[in-house]
Amino acid sequence: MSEPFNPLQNSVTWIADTGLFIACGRQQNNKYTALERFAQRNDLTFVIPQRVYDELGGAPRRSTPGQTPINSAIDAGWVTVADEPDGVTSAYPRL
Amino acid sequence: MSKAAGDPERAVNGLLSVAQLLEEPRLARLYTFVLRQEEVTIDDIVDELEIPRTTAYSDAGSLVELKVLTRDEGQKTHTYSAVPITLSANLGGDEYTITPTLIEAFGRSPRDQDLNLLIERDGLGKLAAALTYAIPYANGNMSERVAARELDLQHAFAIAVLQALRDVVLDMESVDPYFDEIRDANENPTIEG
Repeated sequence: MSEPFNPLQNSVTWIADTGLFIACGRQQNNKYTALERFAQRNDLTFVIPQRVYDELGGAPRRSTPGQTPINSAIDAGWVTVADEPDGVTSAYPRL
Repeated sequence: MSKAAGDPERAVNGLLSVAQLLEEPRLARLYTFVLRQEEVTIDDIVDELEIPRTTAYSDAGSLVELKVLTRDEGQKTHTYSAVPITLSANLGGDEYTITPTLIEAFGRSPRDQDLNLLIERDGLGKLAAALTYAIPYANGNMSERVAARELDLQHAFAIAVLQALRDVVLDMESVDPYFDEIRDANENPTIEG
């Protein structure tokens, strides 16, 4: 019998898409601090592809993604930008 | 106002009324609030929308003049109810049906930075186009990335707009009697992918 899946075990990587940070950051929602707390309490780091980082950073300044403090999250250590995979020109197939 | 089918006067007056609703978010918000409640008094409007009483009177009066609200003066306290709107525009083959869901999205814009920025930068037409993608997105028939890509906006901003409109769609689906008439991008793409 295999063990039940535990998402908080060390071998699990949490990969986050752009939409997660926007959903948590919207004025109507304002769960960004809760997301940070969740990561820190469970001692986990959200891994984001470079593309997600670029999308958040390239958003208009007056929009929710443009106001996402992704750099402070990276500085604080609960978000990290993934290295590009070796030998692959584009990490993402077009959907 | 005659209710006869094919009444050109009613059609053109209705077009102008909708155009005015889509000029002023405060009127749009009041209209969909009344639509949701079915029957309200000025006190209800003041309490729920947190606007001054004089504004509530004046805006409700404007909407009655536009014939999108009716006022029942039969009792001591007057009550207001909303006339559900559906307006199809066809410009040289490009078609769109405006229903209370678009009016609600517009009415939310002053209190939603993403919708506000979208309208300011790209106009109301873009809001209407985005809504056609927000419907399949909200209903789980189109992924966030696919819907966002189709909007032809900066990607993360497109996601923020879709998330804002998803809330509108989920709130209005059961309130808007003409919801099914809104174009769904899954059935009729409006923007080339």
